[in-house]
Amino acid sequence: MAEFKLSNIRGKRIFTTDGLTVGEVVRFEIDPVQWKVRSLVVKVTDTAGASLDLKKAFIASNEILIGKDIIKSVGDVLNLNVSMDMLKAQLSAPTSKKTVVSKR
Amino acid sequence: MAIGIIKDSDLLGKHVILEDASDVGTVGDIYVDVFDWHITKFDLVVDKRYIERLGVDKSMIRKSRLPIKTHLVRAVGDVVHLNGSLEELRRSTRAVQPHEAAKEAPVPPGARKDKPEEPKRYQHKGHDEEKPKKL
Repeated sequence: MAEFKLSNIRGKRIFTTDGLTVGEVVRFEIDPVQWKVRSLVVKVTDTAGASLDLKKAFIASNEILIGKDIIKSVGDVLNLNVSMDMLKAQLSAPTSKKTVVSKR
Repeated sequence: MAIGIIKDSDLLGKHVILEDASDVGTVGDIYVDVFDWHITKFDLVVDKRYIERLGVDKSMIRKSRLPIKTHLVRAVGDVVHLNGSLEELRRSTRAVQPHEAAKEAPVPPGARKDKPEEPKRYQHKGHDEEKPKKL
């Protein structure tokens, strides 16, 4: 069991399997009935935003929701088990019952 | 009314209420097991009125905190409702606080020093002792 404070995960950088930075964790979405973290809200870097075809916001930065299912490991950083291309494909998928990633 | 998915920031600072209507403090740090992303516990930042009644260590520097397992939570809404009364929470606290356990089992003055001691077991350690392992 690896137990972390949520406040210690906040701010950690997230990387894809191809070693690219997605962004950093800004907050969590919690199911208070099951007591599970459902997804992580990630502030996307400009470079990753361009790779993911996200529209550049005028003032606010882009945020995406990353489901816990695609997080491979947590340590000093968070590693995903998908590449940037796969992340992009999941972001642009029209609808899927099990949302892994979604634009905010 | 119970609420659906919430942000962690919405949970932080919520008042924690017991069955006997005691407002014992607010939600502090939240702990997650990253293996299955289950939220195991949160720190109750104990209201100063309840520090002595709950038998929590009083600190001059930081606010007194008490780890609360999430299975004790009955509902989350505008506040966090816990199962049990102040007395029940106090009893579970005494199991947590190592100094209390030491008080309850004093070493007799004539006890032999070479006698092997029974290993002390606590229900769960304080969060300070459970430093997360860096992966």
